[in-house]
Amino acid sequence: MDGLLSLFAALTPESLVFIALGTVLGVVIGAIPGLTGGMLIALSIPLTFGMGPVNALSLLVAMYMGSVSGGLVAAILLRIPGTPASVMTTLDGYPLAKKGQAGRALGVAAASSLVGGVVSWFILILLAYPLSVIAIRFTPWDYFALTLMALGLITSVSGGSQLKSLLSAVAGLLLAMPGDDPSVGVPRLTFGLYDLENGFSELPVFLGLFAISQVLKETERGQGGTITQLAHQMRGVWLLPRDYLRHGGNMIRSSLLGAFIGLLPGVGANIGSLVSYAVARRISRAPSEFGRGSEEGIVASEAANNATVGGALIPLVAMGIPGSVIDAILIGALILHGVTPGPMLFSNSPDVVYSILVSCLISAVLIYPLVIFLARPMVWLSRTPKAFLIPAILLFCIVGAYANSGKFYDVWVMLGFGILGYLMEKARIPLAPFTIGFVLAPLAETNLRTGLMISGGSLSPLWTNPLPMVLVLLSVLILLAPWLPWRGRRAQSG
Amino acid sequence: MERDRRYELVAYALFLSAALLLGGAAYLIEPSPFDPIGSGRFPLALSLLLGCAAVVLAVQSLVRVSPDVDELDGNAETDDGGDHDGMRVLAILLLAALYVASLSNGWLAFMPLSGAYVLATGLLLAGKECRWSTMLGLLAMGAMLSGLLTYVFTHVLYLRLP
Repeated sequence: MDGLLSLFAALTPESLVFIALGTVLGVVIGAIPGLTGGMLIALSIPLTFGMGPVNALSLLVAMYMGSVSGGLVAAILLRIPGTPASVMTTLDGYPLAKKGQAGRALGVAAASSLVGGVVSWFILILLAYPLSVIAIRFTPWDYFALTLMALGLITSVSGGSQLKSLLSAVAGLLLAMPGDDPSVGVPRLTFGLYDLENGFSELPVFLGLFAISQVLKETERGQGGTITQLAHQMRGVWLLPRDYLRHGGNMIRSSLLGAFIGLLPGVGANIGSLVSYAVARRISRAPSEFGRGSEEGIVASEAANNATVGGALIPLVAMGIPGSVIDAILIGALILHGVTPGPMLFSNSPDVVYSILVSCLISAVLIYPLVIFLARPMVWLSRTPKAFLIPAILLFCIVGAYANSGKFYDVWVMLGFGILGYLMEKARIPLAPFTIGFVLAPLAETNLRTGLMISGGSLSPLWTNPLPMVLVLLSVLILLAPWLPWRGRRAQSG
Repeated sequence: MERDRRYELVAYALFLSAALLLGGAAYLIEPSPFDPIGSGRFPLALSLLLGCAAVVLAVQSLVRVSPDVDELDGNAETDDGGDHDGMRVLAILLLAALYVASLSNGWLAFMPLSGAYVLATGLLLAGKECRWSTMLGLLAMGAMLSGLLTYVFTHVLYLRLP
């Protein structure tokens, strides 16, 4: 109790204002496709030079929390993932909104974000040190087996033909290969094109696959009218206690999964939301509803992607190790403010640690009303005639893709992947496995190659070490699940 | 259904071409002395897997009489049977390509070009429903959006727009 009291003793009215400001900016930037939390935080660091480290870190951490949640608004109402972390939310959020339950979808997503943020905060407070010690003991084989399992899960995410899902996932993995080889830093598969040396960035790829393909579909559907047939009902936006009881197990499970995945260095919020989405689908009594507006799917994705923030802050606070790109930027901010990150942070700068922890909790709580508040103008936007909304979306996407690197190459990449996404949807090839394969590719390849270098080219650690063995077995089971006899019986009875 | 099959075959052909192109390039990468699989083996394995999956699915699609109902995945939306126009999709893509090419070559400044792009795309989408008010609205929106984006990117985010 004393610990908690001393935590909140670090709060000043000034830092509260910065936390609120950071959360608002994070949510707004996260809701705009093309703008990311990382970009916002990196650009805001120079603005914090005049502040003390406590206020600066309060502001930046609140931006981080807000940006992860902001993406859900556009994901649900326009099927445009504001951030890569909200890709899984589009799968069920948008179909539920199209059924006339936009308010409900937003409410479920925002409440799940709140629970995810609070659960990961408790984990951050209680388990920061012991979990960091476990995470840094993960070997490359453990990571590789984890990505194999995630790839196995991918094929079960979107339903329908498993072979099409596999094709989509492998295509995502393969198209992530051109560019700098992540192990040695030498360009490969670039065909002599200078721009291709950096490969395809995540942001233009995801904007193309989801936003541009959707725009093309809406364009094909006919002239005039509005972009969607959303009923725009904001009823059900505030969840009742019985809703929390109904989704409580899923919220807690997804939050725990997200926090643990966030803890693993280099594994981001998008993978956290994928894994918990796939697990929720496996456990669900109505797996066929996933992808068609399932509340369980929204809960799993949003609780997990918010929980990854707290999880990713654990190695940062306890060991000074960045768990994600944004954490690396935050470490840069700490150094710029004269604070040395690492195991001595707790004893040398407790006020800074407390400001990070408190900011995390307060912004998690602020996100719920903020998202609901932001949702109303967004719903109004989706009522706008297609002739006005589509040009605006296209303009935002083009400028967002350009702002990603300051190069038109990314805009062309976005348009190219937009055509690919449109074609894939027409051919009923799911997009989610492609996106997750694309994200996982560097992690899978780097760890496989590092593992092979350590083992002298032998794959045996995959089945001689307990953790990789269990994960590989699980992957095989997931892949073979549709043909297992008891699954068949369950499907028949369902 | 015939149209769906055409799209499927085009998609599989595209994936097969990507597999052949990237697989061929990966095959030519020299192995490294200290790295058991080097830079090329992982993408090569993926290319083989992608190529095989594309061929199997293409054969399945060709021999199938009608697509299975359970193949409808959750992500893909069902055809609503409305007015579908592939030419308009092509026109939207061409307009976007023209806009991006104009920006990258500096043919016009960002603000007037973006305003014109919003107007042209909006008019294309409005089609027969286009009125004077639509045109004026699009002009106003184009000017406002391009002005807003210029201000936010240059004065708030310190990013230089073309």
